[in-house]
Amino acid sequence: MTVDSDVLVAGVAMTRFGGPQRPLHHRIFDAGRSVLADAGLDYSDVDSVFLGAVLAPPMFGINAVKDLGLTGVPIINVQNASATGAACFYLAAQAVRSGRAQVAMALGFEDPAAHGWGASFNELRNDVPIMDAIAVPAAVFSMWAVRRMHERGTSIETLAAIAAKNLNNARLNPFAERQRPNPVTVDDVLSARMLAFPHTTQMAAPQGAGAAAAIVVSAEFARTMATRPRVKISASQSHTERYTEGQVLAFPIIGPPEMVKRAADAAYEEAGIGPQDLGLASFHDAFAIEELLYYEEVGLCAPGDADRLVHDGVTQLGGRIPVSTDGGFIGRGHPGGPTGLAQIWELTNQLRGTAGSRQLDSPRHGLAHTPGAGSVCYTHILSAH
Amino acid sequence: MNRISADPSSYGVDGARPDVVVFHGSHSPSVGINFWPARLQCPVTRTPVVDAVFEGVGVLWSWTFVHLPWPGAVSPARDGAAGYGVGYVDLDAGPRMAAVLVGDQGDWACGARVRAEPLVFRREADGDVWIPAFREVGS
Repeated sequence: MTVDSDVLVAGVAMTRFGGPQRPLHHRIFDAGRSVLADAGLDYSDVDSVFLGAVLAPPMFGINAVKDLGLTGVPIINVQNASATGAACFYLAAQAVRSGRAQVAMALGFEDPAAHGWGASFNELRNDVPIMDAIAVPAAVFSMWAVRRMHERGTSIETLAAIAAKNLNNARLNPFAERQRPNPVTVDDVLSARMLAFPHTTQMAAPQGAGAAAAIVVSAEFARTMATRPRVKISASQSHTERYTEGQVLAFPIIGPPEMVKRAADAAYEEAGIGPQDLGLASFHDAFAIEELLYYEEVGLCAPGDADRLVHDGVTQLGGRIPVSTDGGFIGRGHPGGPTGLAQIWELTNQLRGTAGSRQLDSPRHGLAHTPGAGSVCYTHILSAH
Repeated sequence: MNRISADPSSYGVDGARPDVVVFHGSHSPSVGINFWPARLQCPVTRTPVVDAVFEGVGVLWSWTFVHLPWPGAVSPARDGAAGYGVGYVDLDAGPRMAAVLVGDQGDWACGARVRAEPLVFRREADGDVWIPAFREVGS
């Protein structure tokens, strides 16, 4: 897909991930109301809605958004693992670009404790292919980390430095799940309980409940708005796997690097920019190793140079290309359905100058990269407009 | 005691050598690639595949030790401690798979030769139910 006419981000919103227990439908309602307020629109203005959740029961979302209004608007439910929110955003952009909608809402939500993996694992029965069950995400990503350590000499301290950076960024984000009272050090991360070698619990994303939303509009509609949107969707790419050597076909989780690189390359081409033009990036850092690998696969540095990026502070706030400025998955959290839209929330706030105490110095372009279950990959580039 | 594969469509033992674990997959004659689990057609060329059986021997591509209980209602006994080893194994026949590793953290190295063996995790009236687990066999 190429975005051949301007599609703008008119509003973004999210509820704090994790935090005090609240009914999920309240979070959905809050995200919906807040994104409409951010855009200065009413629900009756919305002519397409894309709802995303990974684990919630069928029709949970559509029942929840009835509180926003019974307007007869088309609503589509989406599920694409970690990339569910990104897929909703992609579809909203596509709906507007195609002319089928002028105003599209993407809304993701999840409550993993209520509808989550724990429940499904405990229901495993004799006839479940149990080899799939043992390859939990912590195992898969940790195997990639061990391989990286073997091939490149990456240290566990490097992974801890990425996590500490993201946890410290989360301290500046009032919507982040993890909000540490004091600055987080590499030693703090290393001394946490081991989850799966070499990842400690502080190198892995928490999975509290949450909701996030975005509203995209056509350029034509934007001209009618009291407050003009200041962020443009410069690229919106969705890719899946091609066969590569070493491909894992059972419960892949992480996916082949070729897919990630192809999605990023296509996004750069569509946006007419290169990685050197990015002012910030947001990755699927559910585990610290992911952020390290994606530095290279998305082109922030040459293959093998990612460790140096960490040690030189290039991806910290104030660095040349800050990554996970909102805390990333490790700090902000990763409920599932809304996560990809939380990435859009952060990029939009940074590009329009509303990111508060973590605001960067006038970034022009931001990239959000969101794979799902190792089988799909979305890359969005947003630009100041 | 009779031994029962937990997923007979994906793995079992060699008929002539009951201690040899084999994996049931597919071979694509058009590109010469083996796949596991079995495919309905070749995902590369969209042409027919034939059934294939791969011996459970290969090279350990990577490993980890998960410090969590085994997911699900039943787990192989591991001296009462929570946790289990997992590896990515490149079978000599080609496919890469994630599988349980026999041993503890520190027992494994990338590039090591490994062989699958049946790991019994549940006893039923008509036999012991097992899944494949790989053990290092030296280089």
